[in-house]
Amino acid sequence: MNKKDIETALDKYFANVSREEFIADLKDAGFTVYKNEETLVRHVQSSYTISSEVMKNLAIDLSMLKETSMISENFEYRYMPKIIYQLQAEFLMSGNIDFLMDKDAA
Amino acid sequence: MIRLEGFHGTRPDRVGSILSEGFKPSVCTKEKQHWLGDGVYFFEKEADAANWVRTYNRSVILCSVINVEEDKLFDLIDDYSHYGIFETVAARIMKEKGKHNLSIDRDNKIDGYVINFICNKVCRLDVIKAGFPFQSSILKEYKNDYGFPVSRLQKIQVQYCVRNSDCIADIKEKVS
Repeated sequence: MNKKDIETALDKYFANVSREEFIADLKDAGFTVYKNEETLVRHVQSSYTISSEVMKNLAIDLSMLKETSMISENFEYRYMPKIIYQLQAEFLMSGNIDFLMDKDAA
Repeated sequence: MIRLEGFHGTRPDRVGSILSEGFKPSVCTKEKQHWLGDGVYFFEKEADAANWVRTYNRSVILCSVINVEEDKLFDLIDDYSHYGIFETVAARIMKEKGKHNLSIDRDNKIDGYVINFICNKVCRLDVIKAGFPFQSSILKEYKNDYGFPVSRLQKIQVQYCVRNSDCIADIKEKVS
C-alpha cells in the first residue's frame, strides 16, 4: 500500500465512475449525500437561509419561505451560494434579492 | 504478521454472545458515527477501556489478541504515508463531490466514511490504528479566564478499529 498506487487507483475509479455510481459508493461508505436540488429543499424546509444582499439578480418570495419553513422575522439561514441558482420557481419573483449564505462555509 | 492487544468495554449481558459468536462490528449510520469507520473497536490501553466503561456505565472489559498482516494495518499514528493516503482520498472525495454537484451532510465528520470508502473502493484494510485526542477536562475550565486554551498538550488515546473479524483471537474477560 503506497500513496502512488492509491492515487492511480483513485484516478482509475474517478475516470470510470458515473455520478449515480459515485453517489451509491458514497452512501455505502456512510456519507449522507444530497444532490444539490435536494439540499435546497431540505434546507428550505428545515430552517436556514436568508441573510443580507449578496446577490442581486434573483428574488425570493420571503412570505412563502416563511410559510413553508416557519422562519421568524429574525430569519437566519444558511446555504451554499451555488444552490441559489436552483431555487424552485415558486420561491422566485422579480425584484430585489435577498440571498442565502452558508454560515458554515469557510 | 503483527500482533496487537486490544481492550473492549461492553455490558455484562453481551459477554456470552461475544465469547461464543464473536464481536458484532459497529456500522456507520447518519445517526451513529464511528470515527474510524465500520468495525470492532478496541483501546490499546486497558486504562482507557476502564475509563470508557466508567463513563458509559458498562462494567466489563474484554481483552483480545489482534493479528494483522503488516500491509493490512492502516496506521494513522506512526506511518505518515498512511495519513497521506487518508488525506489524498478525503481531498479527492471532497473535490469530486463538487464536480458532481453533490453536497454531503455537514453534521458529521468525514473520517470514518473516508476510511470506509478506502476499504470499499481502493484497497482492503483489516485494522485501522489512530489516536483520539483529549484535552484535559481539568484545564478546560480555565479557558474562559485565559481567553483560549491554557495548554496545548492533549492526551492521545490509541484505538484500533478491526474490520476483519478473522484478525481477532483469544477473547478473554478481564477480571479486575
